[in-house]
Amino acid sequence: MNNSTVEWFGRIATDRISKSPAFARHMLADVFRGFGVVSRLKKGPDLPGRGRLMYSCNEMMATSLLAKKDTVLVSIFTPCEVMHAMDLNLVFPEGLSCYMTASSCEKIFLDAAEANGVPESYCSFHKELIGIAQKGMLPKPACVVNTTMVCDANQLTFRWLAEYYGVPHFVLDVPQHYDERSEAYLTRQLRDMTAFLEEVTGRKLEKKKLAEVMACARRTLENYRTILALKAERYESLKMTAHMIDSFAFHVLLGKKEIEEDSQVLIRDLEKLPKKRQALRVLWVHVLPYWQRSMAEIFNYNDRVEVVACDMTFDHLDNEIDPRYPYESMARQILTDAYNGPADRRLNRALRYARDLNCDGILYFCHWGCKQTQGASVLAKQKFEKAGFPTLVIDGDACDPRNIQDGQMVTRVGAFIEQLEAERA
Amino acid sequence: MIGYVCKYAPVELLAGFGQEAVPVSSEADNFDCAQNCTHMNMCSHMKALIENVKGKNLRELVLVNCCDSTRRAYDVLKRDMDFIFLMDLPHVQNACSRQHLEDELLRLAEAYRDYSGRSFDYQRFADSFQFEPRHIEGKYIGVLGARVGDQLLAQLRSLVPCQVEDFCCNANRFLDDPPADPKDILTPAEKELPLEAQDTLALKKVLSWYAEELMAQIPCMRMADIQRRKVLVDDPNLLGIIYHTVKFCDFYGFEYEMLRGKTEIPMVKIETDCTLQSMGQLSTRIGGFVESLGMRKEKLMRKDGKYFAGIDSGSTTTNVAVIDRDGNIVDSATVRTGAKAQKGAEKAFAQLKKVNPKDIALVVATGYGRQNISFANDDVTEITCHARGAYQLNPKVRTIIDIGGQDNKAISLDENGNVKNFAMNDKCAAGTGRFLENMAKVLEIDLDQISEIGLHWEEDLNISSMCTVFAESEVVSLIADNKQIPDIVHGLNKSVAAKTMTLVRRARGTGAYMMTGGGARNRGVVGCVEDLVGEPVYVPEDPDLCGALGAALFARDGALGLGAEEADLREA
Repeated sequence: MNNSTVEWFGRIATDRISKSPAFARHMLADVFRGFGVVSRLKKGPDLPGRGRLMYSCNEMMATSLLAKKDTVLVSIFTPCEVMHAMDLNLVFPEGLSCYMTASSCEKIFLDAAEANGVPESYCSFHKELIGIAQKGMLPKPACVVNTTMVCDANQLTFRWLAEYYGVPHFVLDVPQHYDERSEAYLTRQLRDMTAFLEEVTGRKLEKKKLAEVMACARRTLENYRTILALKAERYESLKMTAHMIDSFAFHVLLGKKEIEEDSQVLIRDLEKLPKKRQALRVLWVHVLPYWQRSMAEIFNYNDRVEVVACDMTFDHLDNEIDPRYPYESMARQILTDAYNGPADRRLNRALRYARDLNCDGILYFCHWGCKQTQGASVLAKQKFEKAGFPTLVIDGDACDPRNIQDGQMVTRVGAFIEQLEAERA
Repeated sequence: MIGYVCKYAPVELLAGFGQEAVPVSSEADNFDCAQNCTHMNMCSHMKALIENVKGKNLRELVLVNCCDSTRRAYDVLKRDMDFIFLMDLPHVQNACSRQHLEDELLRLAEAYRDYSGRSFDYQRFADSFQFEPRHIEGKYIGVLGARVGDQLLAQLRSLVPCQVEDFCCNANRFLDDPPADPKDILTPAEKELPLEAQDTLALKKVLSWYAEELMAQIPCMRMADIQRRKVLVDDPNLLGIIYHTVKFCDFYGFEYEMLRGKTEIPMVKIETDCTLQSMGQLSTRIGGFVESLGMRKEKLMRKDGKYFAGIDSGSTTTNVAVIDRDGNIVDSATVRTGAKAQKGAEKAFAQLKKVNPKDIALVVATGYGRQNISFANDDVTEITCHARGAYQLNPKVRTIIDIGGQDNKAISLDENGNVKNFAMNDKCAAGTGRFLENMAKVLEIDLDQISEIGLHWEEDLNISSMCTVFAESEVVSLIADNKQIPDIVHGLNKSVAAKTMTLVRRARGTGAYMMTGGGARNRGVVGCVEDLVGEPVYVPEDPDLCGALGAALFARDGALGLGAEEADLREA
């Protein structure tokens, strides 16, 4: 869709949201679903595997808007294999914020949240999802489950949502460092989480089913490693959205059969691409403002410069899942995640992938309100440049256009690309 | 000396190693160091910590995994410290989390032993538990929210004429006494073990007890279960709450909103960036709050003269209103304030045409420069003065929206004209008169033109950026896109109105509405505010004079002895 169509749609959606949230939820769900179907079926610049992943994510976002029994509201880094094994519906509100911004109807939610006292400096993903709830666009879930990992906003937003809806809340307290004792602590909590879900929903978890889901998750992550290995030697014409979709699909939807199948299709697609890397190759660190027109014009389907990967898609690839020990595997998965623990862990991981993916430079995106990312920005630039990767640290917002200084971003990114071109030459 | 910042920091454990732990809680003069090693949008408290550590050359630090910013402060500081430790503090409170904290305490103890070469001594550990229960006599004001620095707390205590108690996140540190002998904690069966085994087990059990004690403190907002924070506001002697938030720390904004909806206790919000640069605005807020609680101390003395003057010394203009005994305005003047409040006030007095200054019995100053006018007999904050002036002009008004040069305010009134609630913009200039002044410069028009031109818009443009600097870029882009000036001005007016409405909501404002200050002269902004509140807004004939009129009315009260009587009643 072109931008004027999106803006036109955003105006209509905003009007409907303010007048009849129930109608607007169905309308947006239909649009997300329809767009997913089109992405899966149409022949276009994207690889078929990309269209399938988009379809899977859009289906989940559409479902999020429609009230369904036994729905669990989860944060992006919550291990969801248990929920999949119990056939529970998942709502992943950070993703919903992205979709609303991409639909150009974010303002009504952001305004609502700020009018109700959410701090202006708050992460706009979380601010927007509070507004989504306040505007009646998020059906009441059965319960809320989140981790304390990655950002403070998880603690605040998910507690707020649980209180707002008056539903039970389970917090997975994630230690910062990985050792046996931390693993035991988190493993115990994951077992407690299962008991909590069983009690809230009245469903029972079958061990065999969980083992199957974990095996599926293991194969899917292996597929993603293959995808990155294939991308290391190839140019893929794609849009920035693909990386956000990957981060959603390979986290919250990890363990779903369809994601495993989508990833197999993507492997076949990538294998067909010629082994050459003509475009400049950029590794993106943190979330992407994929809906921002100026950035999309620079990075989407551009044979001059390609965002090869985003560090939110390979944060959890270092751990091998053992389906025989699902809880221990999930605990290790979280504890060794690049986004957990000290900044060095995340920066070293990004650096390793920048090398493995044959990147020319690294773009470090300081999303508004994300203190974890902002706080490490100086360290990141020093470390990456010392390792030989030109690095651009840029301030922006992946959810709220009001916090973006578009002209300045374009100038900086343009100069960065020129710098990379000069270095290649 | 080892520094710490959080009440969950195990300072007694460090005392067991013979090391004195000192809180690092001073404000910073600036953020020069922090700016070089991290991002400016990091929590201001952590930036102040970085400044303190670097400025005071602190070599040892124990941090607690409180928040994202603390974790990153640890990351940027660790290269330059002799000893730095980040202790993982669980978010939840149960047997497993206590075990986890116990493990962390042990990890710290081992790390500090290896670093310092010292041994842990139980007696030193036990002796360091010197907690006096908090003892409050009579009514008091509580400071809640994010930690306040030493100087800010001292400033608050100087501004409030009653006891001020610190209940912020780093206060409320209280632990029970440990057992006199660690072996006291052992069961009779355990005391049958060999002595060495008893020692080991006793130390482990003490650590477990200590972990539980640390976790049992009144939780900060970072913890998962915050129910026990209710105790902080559940006291009949709590007269009012000064709620403190720190720029770029998001935890406490949530509690402030929650309290606002649940408690009837008067509350004022202050936000600081852990420097001392906004004390002027702070004194207005706290002064207004104290006045709204009826705790203002009258300083006026009776003097001869038939007129009473109020001076509103604002950042842009100084306004003087002179009234007679019946409260009628008999003379007024408005001048640019200039660099000094005193000179601005003298200039304004010199401009009075109908009244001889010798006939003025008393002068009360208000506004940003109110405490710097030597010939004023007393000063009252602009919050209270605006309320007083507005009520005099129109007793039906329940909400005043004041758009001044650097401050915007929303003040809600009760049916007697008393201040019920108020909210002011923070340090950000978005939505203030200064904002429009800057935008007028960018558009190459003057302020009078900007007031009129926005009424003639055709295309409904939006200025989406909330930040003044970003908004300026947006305006420049719109000019480059050949957008019409009236349309851009209308977009700016809407932006100012929207920003102002967030204050109205914070102050729980209801109709009828009045607009005062220079912004009220801008018919475009008034129209946009009317659109948002859904009713006509009353604008007095001279909206700049409202604060000065209120000050003049206080001068008259003082001269006639009314104010003192009222103040006495309120204090009683």
